[in-house]
Amino acid sequence: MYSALWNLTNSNSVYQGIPVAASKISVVETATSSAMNSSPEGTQIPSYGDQNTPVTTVSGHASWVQDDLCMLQSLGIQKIAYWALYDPYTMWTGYPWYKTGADLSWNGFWGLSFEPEGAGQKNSWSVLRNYYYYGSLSCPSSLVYATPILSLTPTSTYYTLAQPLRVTWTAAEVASLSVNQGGDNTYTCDTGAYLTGGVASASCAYTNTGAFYTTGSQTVTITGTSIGGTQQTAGTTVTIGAGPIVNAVTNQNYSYTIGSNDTMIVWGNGFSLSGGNTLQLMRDGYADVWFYDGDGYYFWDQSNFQINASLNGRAAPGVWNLYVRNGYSGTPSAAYQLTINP
Amino acid sequence: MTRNRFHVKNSLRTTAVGLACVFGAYGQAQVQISGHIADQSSAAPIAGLAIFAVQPPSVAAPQPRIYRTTSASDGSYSVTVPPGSYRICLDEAEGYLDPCQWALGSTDISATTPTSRNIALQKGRPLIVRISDSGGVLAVTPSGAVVAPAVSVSITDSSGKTRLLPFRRTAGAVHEFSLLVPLASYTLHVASSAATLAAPDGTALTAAGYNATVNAAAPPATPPSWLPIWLADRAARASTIVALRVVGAGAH
Repeated sequence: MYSALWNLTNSNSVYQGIPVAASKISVVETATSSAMNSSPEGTQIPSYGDQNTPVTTVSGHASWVQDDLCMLQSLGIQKIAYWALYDPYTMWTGYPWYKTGADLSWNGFWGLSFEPEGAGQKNSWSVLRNYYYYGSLSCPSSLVYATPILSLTPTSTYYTLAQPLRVTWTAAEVASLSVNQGGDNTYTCDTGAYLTGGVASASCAYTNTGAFYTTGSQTVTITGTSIGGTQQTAGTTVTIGAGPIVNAVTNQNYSYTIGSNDTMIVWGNGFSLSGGNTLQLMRDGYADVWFYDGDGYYFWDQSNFQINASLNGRAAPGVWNLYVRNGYSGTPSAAYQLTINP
Repeated sequence: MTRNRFHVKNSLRTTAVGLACVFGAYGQAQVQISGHIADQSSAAPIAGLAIFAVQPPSVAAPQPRIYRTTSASDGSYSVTVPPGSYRICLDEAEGYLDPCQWALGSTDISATTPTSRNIALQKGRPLIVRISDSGGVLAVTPSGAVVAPAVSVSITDSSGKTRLLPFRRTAGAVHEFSLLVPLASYTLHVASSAATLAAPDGTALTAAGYNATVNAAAPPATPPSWLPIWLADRAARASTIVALRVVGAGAH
């Protein structure tokens, strides 16, 4: 930044800048997280950055830049320069950093142009470019309250009767938020900590909503209200079934051949994200074998889609029927035939 | 009888106790297990934690019974159960270790009468294995039955017990596996029959995969001085991270 300002304002620099007194220079930093749009416009990752930096869409980015420029123009500041910190996504996700997209969303700033240049310009860049080149800027003549920008994503699209849903939401330009299914304590996206100021105090968080008690397609919505009272709603549809669903069972190496001392990984939907699931193996002539947290063996069930359980020789080789219960609906999954090898 | 019926309805609304558990308890005498959940180091109450009173199967009741509740803002909890022996287990989402996985027996309770039990929980550390796969060798089919890349990731602790690191997500081109673990050393095993992996130093691995000691008790490595602070200073929750990458298809 120092070098850039020096070059810009010093006529002796290689860039032949315009002498401007230091007291006349104002530096403004604005930043936002990567867009919620799909690649290459964004990462589709809700995030919760520094100082509640909101996540928004590429249209939201453009509105943000436009609002910034309008603010500067209304103050009579029309001589501006733009610097962007731009780091290629492929650099940070590759050797030697191996950062995830989530890391970069929280911390990175991907500039106003697309990384693949051929993809064109982001909306926000067009706003800036039109102002630079043509002096074209559309500013409201009076105070206009922004429309809230919202996104709602469930952790799963399938839940069972009586099972609370978990949804992740992001919001910008909101003073208050509400979820139609209600919700428990709301947690921030990046730390798992509570939002002490309520759901409108951050740009990204998740909450556990109330359950549905009717099977079929159901809708969860979040409504945001701006400081001026403008409302916007975002929704998502989930399927509610009677019980969990088992899609596959593998061993720890993702092989469908399961040995009696392997760890079985049960893949499916409608498992309880916060634990409390049970697995039952049934076979004629044998006592039922139960797997659950607290049974004395490795058991991991902190996912809507996956349960890991160590067999430890508890089920004799042969063909068993597997049932999963999530502790909410009372209805087990349909039987899944599982062969356990010696 | 009427009173019991009301209790069942009320439980469903307020504590989301599993239906099977409630109906199993129907008509039986009930006792209450209650107490406070707190951080072992700071004694701060832990709110919003899913807590399970687990009754193992017996001859009389061959199905395990699991009674769920959630800790309140002051860390207090209570759960109503039939008299018996229970093991208190919990959700690890808040970063505290589940005693039923890491300190089995430490939360066992005999609850024949109303029982109070305070529980101090130890913080764990996420042990994270990230596998960079820019070529998409281990790409996951979203519609497939197995929603994970074909990489086996596990740890063995000092007692010889092995646990899987469950697959958690793919972000960008990076597959992430993680498990909350106590602060200790582990032998980490990472292997794939579908890809040739490279160690953190770039060395291509054999089919035996990556086998190394990982110390989850060590403080996170100091970021190199050239790394921008806004990038290095992100960890909201201290984690131990091992970064590998895919360098080819099929086991080497």
